[in-house]
Amino acid sequence: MVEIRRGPAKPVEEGEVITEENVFERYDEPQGFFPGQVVADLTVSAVLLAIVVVLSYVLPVPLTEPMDLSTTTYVPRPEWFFFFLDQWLIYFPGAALIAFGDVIIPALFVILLLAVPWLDKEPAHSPSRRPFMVVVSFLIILVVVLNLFLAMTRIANFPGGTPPG
Amino acid sequence: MPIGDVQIPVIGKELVIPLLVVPHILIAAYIIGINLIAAISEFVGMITKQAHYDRFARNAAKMTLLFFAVGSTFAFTFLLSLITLYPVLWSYLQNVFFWVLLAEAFMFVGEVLMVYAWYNAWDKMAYRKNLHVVFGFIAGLFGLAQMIFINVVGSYMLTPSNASATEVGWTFLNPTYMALNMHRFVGNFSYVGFLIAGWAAWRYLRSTTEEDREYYDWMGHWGIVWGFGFLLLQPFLGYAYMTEIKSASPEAFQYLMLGAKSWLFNGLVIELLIMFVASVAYFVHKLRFAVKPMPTLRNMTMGSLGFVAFFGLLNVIPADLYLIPQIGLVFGEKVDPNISLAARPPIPLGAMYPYKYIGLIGLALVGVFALALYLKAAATGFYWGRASRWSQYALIATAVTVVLTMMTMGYARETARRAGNGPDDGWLIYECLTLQDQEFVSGGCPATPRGTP
Repeated sequence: MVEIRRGPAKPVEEGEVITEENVFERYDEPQGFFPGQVVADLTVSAVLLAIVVVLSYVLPVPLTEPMDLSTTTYVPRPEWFFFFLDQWLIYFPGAALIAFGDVIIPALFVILLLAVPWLDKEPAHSPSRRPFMVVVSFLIILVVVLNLFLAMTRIANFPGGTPPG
Repeated sequence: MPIGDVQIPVIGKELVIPLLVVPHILIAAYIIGINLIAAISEFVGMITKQAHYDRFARNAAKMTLLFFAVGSTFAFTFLLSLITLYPVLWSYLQNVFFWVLLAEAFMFVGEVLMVYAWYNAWDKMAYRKNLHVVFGFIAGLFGLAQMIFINVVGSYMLTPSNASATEVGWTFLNPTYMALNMHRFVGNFSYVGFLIAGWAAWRYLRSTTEEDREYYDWMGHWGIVWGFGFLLLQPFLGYAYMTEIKSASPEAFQYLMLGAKSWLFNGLVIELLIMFVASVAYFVHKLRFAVKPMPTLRNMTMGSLGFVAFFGLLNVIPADLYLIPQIGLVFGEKVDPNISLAARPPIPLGAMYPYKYIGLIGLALVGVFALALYLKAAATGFYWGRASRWSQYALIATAVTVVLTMMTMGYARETARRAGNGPDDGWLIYECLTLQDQEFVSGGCPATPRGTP
């Protein structure tokens, strides 16, 4: 049985010695990848796979029209989970700015994510101990969700493509 | 005479609606913002155990109650006038947005119940703050829901959705709906923050006791943090909003940004300049009273003040001297919005690209920097009750200016519907229902889909 640990890490008590026996009792100490992490990952993956299998059976994706290579009116759209990035193209129009919206700013964001361990050195897991990171993370999610909705309304209202401006 | 043909002497019927709506919006936006800020203040007071947060929250809840009835009176009178003077418009809106308007009415009921319960139970639930603060948040969320519902109507009138009126869900998702929600949500916080700061300054100047001076000094700080903090987001959200208007109603966009009403945005940048400079100047002054002296930080904030003034002034430079044609304030030719001359205006520094972009982005970034420095100092504490008179005048200036800004931008949104239907007419619903005769366009509403082939 895999033990899923919850709650904050135990505080290090004065005089406490970390040994091979008690090292896994706290989050912030190194854990063995095998078997604990592997089993936990496999369990989650199996559940997700089961959900996808059930969905594919219950709600199958229909076959649509064959591809028409001669069309000139087709408006390419990204998958819904990229809508928020699609929206950025509206704010950075034209050949000169397009790279900012869809390459430079997302790349800076990914670099920022990689830098998080250095930006947030608070050892505790509790969100209440990390208000700055919680607020920043919330704002990032908010930006993504709002841009997703903005893109959805734009696509719904301009099915033939956004007018050039 | 049909009721819709009623003519109002002297001012005309077109002026009746704004005369009622402007005070309604100023009060309604205040109620939505103050309710949420008060609930958050009570929560912060509960966590930090600092009494002034609770005192502020309680007073704010009382003000919400006092203003609620006044705001509702204006709303009701406005609605009655709209039904009387524009029956075709109202009939159409009622058909398309029946469910929205019904939900809106229930939000009013919910909000008023929760606000009364919240205020009246303040002492009774003094030992159950965890539950009491929830009352405030729920009341605030009801208010917010009201705004979100009525924004469906407001945004639809300028940018009707590309869906038939029977598709209820899709009529909500008109092109500017999301952008308007974001812009108004943030705007409410900023507006109320500056009003709190202005009111606190007024009371501070009239305070006679040391306790009141300390409290109102703190309240001015609390208000300006909300006001200025949320103001920093507005240039970006405003840009997003205008982008949607440009896509959906290009003639309205031209009319506002480059046409006869572009002076509104010259006015807006002057208002932004005043709010930014007054806020950062207040920060510079306040940093003198930090518990832990921070001369370097104060010098950096003073540098920020210089940059804020520079970027603000860059925004203020007009593209041409054809300033306000409606009152004859013109010197020289107007930039023709239909040719690329807009990129090469008579006054080069007044061009939108790149100078206005630089100015707006610069203002926002320097503002974030100045606010971060100020909050860093605030975390260590200030000596309250020692602020000078002029620092309070700066707060009052922000409060007056933010009211003017609300009116300027509200007018801009509504007057945008004057574009695209000849010089003497306009739209009640853009490209759908005419302003003067209340007639639908021949193709019916919504207008033909706007998508490019």
